[in-house]
Amino acid sequence: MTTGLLIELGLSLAGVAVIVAATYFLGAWRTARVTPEAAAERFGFDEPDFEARGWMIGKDAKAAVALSRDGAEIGLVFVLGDDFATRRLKRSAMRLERDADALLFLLNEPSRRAVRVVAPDAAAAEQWFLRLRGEGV
Amino acid sequence: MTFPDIVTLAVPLFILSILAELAAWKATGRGRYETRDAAASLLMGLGNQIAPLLGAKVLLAALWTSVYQFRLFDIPNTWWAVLVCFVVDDFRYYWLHRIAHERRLFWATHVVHHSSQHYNLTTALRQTWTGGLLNGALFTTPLVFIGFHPAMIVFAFGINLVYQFWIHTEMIDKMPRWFEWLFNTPSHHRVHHATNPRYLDANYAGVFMIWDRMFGSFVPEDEAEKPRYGIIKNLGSFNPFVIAFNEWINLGKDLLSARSVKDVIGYTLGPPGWSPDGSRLTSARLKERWAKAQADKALAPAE
Repeated sequence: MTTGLLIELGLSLAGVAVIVAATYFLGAWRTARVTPEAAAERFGFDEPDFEARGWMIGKDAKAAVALSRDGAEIGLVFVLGDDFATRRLKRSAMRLERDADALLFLLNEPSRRAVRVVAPDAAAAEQWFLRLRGEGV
Repeated sequence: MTFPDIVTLAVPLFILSILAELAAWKATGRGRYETRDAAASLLMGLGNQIAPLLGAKVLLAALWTSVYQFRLFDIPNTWWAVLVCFVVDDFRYYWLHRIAHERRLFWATHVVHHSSQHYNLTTALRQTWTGGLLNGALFTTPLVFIGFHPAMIVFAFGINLVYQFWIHTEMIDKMPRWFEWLFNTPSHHRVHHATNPRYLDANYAGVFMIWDRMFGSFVPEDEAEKPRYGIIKNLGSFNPFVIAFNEWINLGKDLLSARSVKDVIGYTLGPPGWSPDGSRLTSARLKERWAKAQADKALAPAE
């Protein structure tokens, strides 16, 4: 590796640092909040043929889950920076765990191992856990 | 005639332009910036400069030098030859780019550039770390065989890349009509980065928009439908290594699950979203789903 190349890479890295710092100080480090409207709007765009039976919005506003009207699928919306990402899962293939008041959906993807939806309270967590497993109302 | 490394020379321009766009975003509220997204894009750009040094650059140089010995024509290193090379290379870019969207093996490389849900000048620098060798060997070698000097081709493509930097912005609405007809512009390229079904698989041009007009892939930006950027299944991470290798890992998993040669071919050379049982959505099926929804919506009042 030549000295010239090292200088070029060093300058590029310095440029990256300057820009990232500038975005930060200009207020671009923003985190979106999942609301019922945001979840429905975003999922409606990504999966227009998914009819949600109502969303459970995480208490921390970082994720939300919905069961489809026919009960065969679930929809997930989770925060990524100032935006959201979504996942549509077949309930039969879904891997779900309960962690106190939170529901943990194991995606096992390179970009996301799991989505954690924090229920409003333990009772809601239990109710949704059973409902998603097809054991409750 | 010597050919400078135009991309490296343009780096200060890139940095100053991004800072200017940031200032404009803050002042006008137009466009969108997010720190982690911008950092990821910039680190992908930095990695894109480093990755070829790991071997691809040397291997391509060796391949092109060998092929150049057997060139069809002796094209001189003159300004007019550079112009012809630029146009021919842009044509090459159109097809490489189109195939990169329509065939998963190539999409695994190119998806990186589309993985941001933002569209600003940093997105232009969100470039792949992989695929340079394959793309260079398959798509650039024919130009060398025709007789363009490899250094001239690299220079022409460098200009093409630098041109494409400025079109990654929401700050510019539309350019003059003649310019929009002939050249790739922010408006045309916003469509290309959009995930709205009506905008999928459109506007592959590098510099000259005529290729899309000629080969039926041109879609104008509709003021009534604002583009939403990203990919169909957006990533859940800003980690540059995840961004670089996510689709390769997914492709690898699919290949391990393949039960026949047909499956292997489908997963690698089929469109992104292809699956043996058709349970996943390709662009074509997403467009069908959207068209059906539009038709249902149009019929609804009459029912």
